[in-house]
Amino acid sequence: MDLDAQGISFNPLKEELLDHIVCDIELKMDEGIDFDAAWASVHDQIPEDHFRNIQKETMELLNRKFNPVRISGVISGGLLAAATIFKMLHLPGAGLLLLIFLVGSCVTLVVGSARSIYVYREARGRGAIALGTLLIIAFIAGLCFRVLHLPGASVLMATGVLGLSVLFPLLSVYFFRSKQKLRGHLLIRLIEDNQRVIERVALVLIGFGLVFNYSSLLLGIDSFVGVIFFIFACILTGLYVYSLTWSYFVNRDGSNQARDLVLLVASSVALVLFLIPAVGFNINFLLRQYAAFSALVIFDLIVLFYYSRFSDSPNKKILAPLASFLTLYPLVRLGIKLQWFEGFLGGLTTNNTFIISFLIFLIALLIGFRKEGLFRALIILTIASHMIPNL
Amino acid sequence: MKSKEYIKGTIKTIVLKLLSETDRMYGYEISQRVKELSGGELELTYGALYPILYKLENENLLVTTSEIVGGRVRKYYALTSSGNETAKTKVAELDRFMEVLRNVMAPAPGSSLQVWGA
Repeated sequence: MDLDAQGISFNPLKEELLDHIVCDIELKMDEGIDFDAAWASVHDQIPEDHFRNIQKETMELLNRKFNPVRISGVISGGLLAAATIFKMLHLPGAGLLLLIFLVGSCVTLVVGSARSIYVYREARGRGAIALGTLLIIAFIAGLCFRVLHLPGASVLMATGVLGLSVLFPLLSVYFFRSKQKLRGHLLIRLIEDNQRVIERVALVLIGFGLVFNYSSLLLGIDSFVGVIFFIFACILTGLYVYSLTWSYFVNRDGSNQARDLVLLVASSVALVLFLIPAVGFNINFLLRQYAAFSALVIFDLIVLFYYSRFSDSPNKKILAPLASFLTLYPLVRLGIKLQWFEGFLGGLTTNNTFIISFLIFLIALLIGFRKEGLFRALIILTIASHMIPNL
Repeated sequence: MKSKEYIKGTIKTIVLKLLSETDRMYGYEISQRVKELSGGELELTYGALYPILYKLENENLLVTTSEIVGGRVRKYYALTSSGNETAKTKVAELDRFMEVLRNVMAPAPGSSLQVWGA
């Protein structure tokens, strides 16, 4: 039974329902019924839209509880919206609202992490969550300092980014070596449970970045604020895409050690490269450009490899070629620094028609393949990278 | 027996009670145990069971672990310490409620229900 087709997108519930259905079939087969008849009997007992309704009811029950993280998130989003409106109407206070938004994001992170650590106090992974939160806050604080022209911005941003580029690969190695013992790890569970939230936050950041960037462009003002949102969205999505490998590592059966090792090394190299531009603006422009887009090429290849070899998605025959096509985009961005390329295709990346058309194409892919978790994450990452005009 | 309309408010207590009697259970196991204990009269469907399990977990009354069994992920539920306390309270409350209900439903002397064997 294709639970994806039934609209089940909440992975933990999907896995449980699958186990339940298979147990039902196994029980009938133990009673002497052959597989086809057992399957037909179980299938016939499930009403149409039953699973979709279970998911809806589950999500409603989970969301009904008072959730300080959601409240804090909504307040931060409101501040961001207010800042954008103020900026567009040239009202004073837009900068201040943006700063409060950044502080609000830190508060949301702290409240969310503290709540997870408290609620799941019997689970593993609380230390990693606390440390990761601190490092992300250091990075956001660095961004605030930069906007305010305060000293120490570079140190804070570098501490956050370098810390994350050490912590995340270390966690990967930890999960890689776990031999299926860390399947209930809190970090992996929280990421699985909050996939949609993370993606929505990234898309909201990109959306506000677009508004800031294009309103500034139309008004002929050079604005750094839009770029900050894209960088923010890029880092968030980069870390998120990388963390999707963890659930693979904790579930791997070890049958292909070499392949898994290649994934570990390639994804970790991609993450470190991807984070280099965020260390600070003191890093050479060319290095930032090459690091970020090389990372995107690696992420693209991992997704391509997944859809061409392992995925059982009914869309794999379309997604694999699309992933290979998307690999061309970072290559184009990399090539613009080559003199011979500049006159060939390099002009594309500064051409507004191309930028907007490609953005629309990516959004169409995002909507069309919204049920494909890994591909969706890659598209959001590509959108965020695409929107950064100059790293 | 038309169990569906009566069972709705008691699923939470049933799940907590069953889990208090064992180390851990998975969803299908819980549904089968209910069926077995009720002689097939009660059936916890997917739709009734899983939303409640997620709610209890979210309320920190249950903790979960996952294992690969037969090539698929199986999620086990166990009571937390506060879940254990809640189980005791809920079972006592339901016991008391059933007692009250029995008194209410006991036919009055001479009631026509007695004739029907109720």
